[in-house]
Amino acid sequence: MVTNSPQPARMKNRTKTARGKTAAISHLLPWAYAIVLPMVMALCLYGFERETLFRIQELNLFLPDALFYQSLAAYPGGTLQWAACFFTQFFYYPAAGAAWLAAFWMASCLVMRSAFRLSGPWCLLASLIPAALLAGIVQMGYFIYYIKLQGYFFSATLGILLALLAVWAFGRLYARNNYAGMAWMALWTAAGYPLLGAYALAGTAYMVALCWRMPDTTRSRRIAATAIGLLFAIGIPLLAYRFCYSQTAIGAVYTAALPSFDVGGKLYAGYRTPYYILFAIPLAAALAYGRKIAAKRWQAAAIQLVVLVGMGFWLKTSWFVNENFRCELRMARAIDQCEWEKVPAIFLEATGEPTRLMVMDKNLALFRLGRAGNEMFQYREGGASPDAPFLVRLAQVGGKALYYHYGQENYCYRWCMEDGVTYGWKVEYLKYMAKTSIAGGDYDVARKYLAMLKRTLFHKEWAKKYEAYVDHPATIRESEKFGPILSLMPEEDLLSTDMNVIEMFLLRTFAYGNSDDPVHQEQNLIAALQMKDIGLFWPRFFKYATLHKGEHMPRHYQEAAYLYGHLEHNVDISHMPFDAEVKESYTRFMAFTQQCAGMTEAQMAEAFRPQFGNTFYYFYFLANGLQTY
Amino acid sequence: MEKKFGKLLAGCFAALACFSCGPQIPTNYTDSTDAAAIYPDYRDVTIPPNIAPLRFVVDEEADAYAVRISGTNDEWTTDKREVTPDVDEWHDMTRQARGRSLSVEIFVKHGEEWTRRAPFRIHVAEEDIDPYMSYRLISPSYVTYHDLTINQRNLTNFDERVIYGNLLNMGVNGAHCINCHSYQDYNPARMQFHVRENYGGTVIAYDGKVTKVNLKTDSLISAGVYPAWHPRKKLIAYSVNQTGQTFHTRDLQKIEVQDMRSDLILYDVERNEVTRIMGDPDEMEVFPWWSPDGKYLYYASAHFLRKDTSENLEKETILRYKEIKYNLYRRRFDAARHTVDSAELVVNASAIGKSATRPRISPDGRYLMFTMGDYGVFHIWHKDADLYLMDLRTRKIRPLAEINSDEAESGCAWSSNGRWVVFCSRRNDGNYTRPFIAYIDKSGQERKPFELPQEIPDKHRRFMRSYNIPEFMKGPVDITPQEFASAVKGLDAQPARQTN
Repeated sequence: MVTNSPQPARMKNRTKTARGKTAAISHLLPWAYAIVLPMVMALCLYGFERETLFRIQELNLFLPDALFYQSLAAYPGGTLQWAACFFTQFFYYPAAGAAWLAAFWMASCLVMRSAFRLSGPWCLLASLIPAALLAGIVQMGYFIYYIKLQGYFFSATLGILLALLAVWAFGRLYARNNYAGMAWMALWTAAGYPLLGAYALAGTAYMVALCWRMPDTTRSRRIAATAIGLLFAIGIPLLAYRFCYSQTAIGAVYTAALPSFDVGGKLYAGYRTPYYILFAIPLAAALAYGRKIAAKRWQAAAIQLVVLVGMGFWLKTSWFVNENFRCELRMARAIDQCEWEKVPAIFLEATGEPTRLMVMDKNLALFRLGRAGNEMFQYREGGASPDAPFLVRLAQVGGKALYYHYGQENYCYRWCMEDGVTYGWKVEYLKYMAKTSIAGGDYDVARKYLAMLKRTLFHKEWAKKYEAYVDHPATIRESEKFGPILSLMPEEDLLSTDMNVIEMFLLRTFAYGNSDDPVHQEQNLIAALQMKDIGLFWPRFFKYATLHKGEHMPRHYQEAAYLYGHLEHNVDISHMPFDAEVKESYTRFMAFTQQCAGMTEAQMAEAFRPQFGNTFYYFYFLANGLQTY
Repeated sequence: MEKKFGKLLAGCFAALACFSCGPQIPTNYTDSTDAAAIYPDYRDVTIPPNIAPLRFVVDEEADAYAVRISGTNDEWTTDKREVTPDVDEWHDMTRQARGRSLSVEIFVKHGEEWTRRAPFRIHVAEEDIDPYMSYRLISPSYVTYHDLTINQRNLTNFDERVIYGNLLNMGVNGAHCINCHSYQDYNPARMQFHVRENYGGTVIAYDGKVTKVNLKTDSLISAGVYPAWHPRKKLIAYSVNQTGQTFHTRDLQKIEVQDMRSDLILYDVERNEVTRIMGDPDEMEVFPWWSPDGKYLYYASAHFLRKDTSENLEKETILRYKEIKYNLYRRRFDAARHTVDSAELVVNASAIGKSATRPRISPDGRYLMFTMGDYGVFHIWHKDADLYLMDLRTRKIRPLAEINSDEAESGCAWSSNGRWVVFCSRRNDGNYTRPFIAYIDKSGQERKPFELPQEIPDKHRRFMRSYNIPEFMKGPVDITPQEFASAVKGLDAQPARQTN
């Protein structure tokens, strides 16, 4: 029936337009999933974790030489780690590193979409790959100091991309000629395993799964492909163990190039979750090969929405967010760049109880600024545990910087060496080893580390700068960088051990030390103050007064003298010119103590903090039980 | 057709000739009396004819380089800064130069001017060196360790393989420590090494059979530590040690490894029996070594009399660490009864305020080489430690001036023909131990040593591990690392019986 009614024609046009729009959306959606989502994820990573990314590259090393490659290639999957180390160094500019990740993530989505013929809403599956990869990165927190896999932050990204590319090639070959596909599968496993470790085996597993979904083949050929895949995936690692690799345990051959997440002899399997998901996604994609979603459009949209929301929720819960951790990273960078003013300012930005590292970093900065005597107790004390399921030790997190700046060069060097052996060599360790060697006068070995750093992409200028000190040792003592450190170095050599308790070691070293150098001597006094040891305090206090004759005695030293004078009456303080404020706050403190009689120590600590939290009196009486680590 | 073929052949020859031409050595140049800076320093060293090519880098910035190594009949040239002769070409030259020398000329170009640095020679000895060497590779760390391997290196080329690596039995709890590899009379089929912690024990491979034993008994200080195979009998002498380490707060030597107590034992491999060598309780005996005829057991020993027994022993040894000085002794060994006589002082180092350790006797039995420093037992961390040689006929001692440096030298081993010694030195940077090989002529005179050549010439500048206990071997260890790994994991350490 022909109709000339304008009404139905308009409706037709509208329907057409709606269909066109829907078609455009359906056409664009896969691209959005493959391009926009990975980009958003990389942007989030850059936006929230800039400081972490920068530290990650400091905890990485890539040297463009055969020796470095050989050291990694001695293990299956070493080439992947080598490549991952190469890209990790770009986090020196966090945006550049994140851009690389974004590019690889987008490539993974596109390759996966093509390899598994994902269409329409199924394309969302491909976006789960970057989500899992992102989760693997942002879950780490304090694990960034403990992860043993070199190039961790790029290895999964590169490994899965290459595995998917291999699957894509397999799909093309197998579709044309089943036997060519099988040959590729065998070749990939044999050649890929030494290069990519477990990622090559994963690729083989995906190929096996895919051959059961691809059309135009027979059951017997599928069985043959499966047999070849299994034979190679199981056999190649065993052969490699037997004939190629002499530093890989038999139990580790199938997980080569995967992180183990062990610290202190204990495995933290929770960190593996993103990897389980990562490896499962292509298997799910194989099931979806060539399928169309039969559900209605709104149902498909709802499913996609649920998956997207779930993905977002999972990422949010996986994301390690801890204020202290971030403050520590920023403080560490400020210290590294000798931007001492920034350190206490960052400390003040934190709202919760600080970690000991934060407190120690802040004290170091105040000392370097010459403000410790007036300010060190004006900041909140604390001993919050680092937010990690495993025991975080100061030595791995920030202890090296503390040792270095407090003039304990041998101990800084020692921990760089110990951690380099345990967790692999890092730019950060090499820098400290170079600096401590320069400070200690061990110039030949300093040149070794500087020469290595000069080979890196982003640290060669740093190395050249420090090489100038080795070339002209006379400038070391006068330099701003080394002068204060040399003042703090031990004047005589002793045999000792820190028992891996850095804070106590530093306190004892300085509190029991004695120096005529005004800088060193002030640290002796500060340590005696921090140890609340009256016997150690007085001689250091008097020596400080002698060395700083005519200068105003800093407030906290006055407070300590005023308090100890009243507590023990062993030293006559009646003629000492205390500031009125010192005396007045002491009087108020003692009066308030009377008012708070009956309170527990914890209650008193809270009650006193607003008025007296910035005094040595408060530190002496109420800052107790702080756990160091 | 024939013409065409002839042209083709001529073309091929021309191309071949072109490719086979070495880089051009400048003909117009200025001679300089300055020596070229090269790494490793191979100037005027003496080498065995069968050693791997002495590859080196020219340590001078220049616009172009040319290097010519001239042998008796051949020459080898390069225009690279990295001088990397091929193994076969090198051996062609060294074989022909046996008993003579190779000449090395280095040309550097600055602007348009070529300069020839003062040429130097590489002397080629008559005598070969044992074809293999083994050593442990370990970072000079203090407490931690991760990836430890005992490696064997083919000295005639650059082939290096793992004998056993601790990561082969790695678990979540970490990897075990491995140390103290030792061979009976340079025989790679008869070796031992220790495994500490997980799967611990002493692994002994003897003519293809691998066993694992536990030498710790109730009355011994520890399981066996520093080993010495009897040259002929199935017997190993060990020291047993209670060792500790502490850290220098300022000294660049960084660490002090000390024994608090130590004794000597004999282990009968056949009977799985340990016999303690009785001695003075105030003596700390360590580093046993047999004379090549097996008639004497040499060792180092320090007399440490406690001043304050109420004080913790460890603390006292730490406080008095510079007072602990070792002398070298020997005891006659009765091979029939497996007993040793009383101690005979050989090197009285403490009398001159020194400490002597690690005695090694030359295969002809004439020379005793040892390490001597100002104090202590673990000389590789002591910058003052040097190698000394005693002529056992005259009992005269002299420092090996051509061998020693300002940094630590320690841990030597003689080649089976007695003409070469390998020793550890930290001369490059004061921190990382590298193996150096020196020629010792029949009169006991040493020549300038050379650093173990590497495929990547300047590898040791970036290599982050130290070489530990280099030992010569007459061939490679045939047992694979995986076979050792199975034995280490699969075998229970058989407890040794103590006979006294």
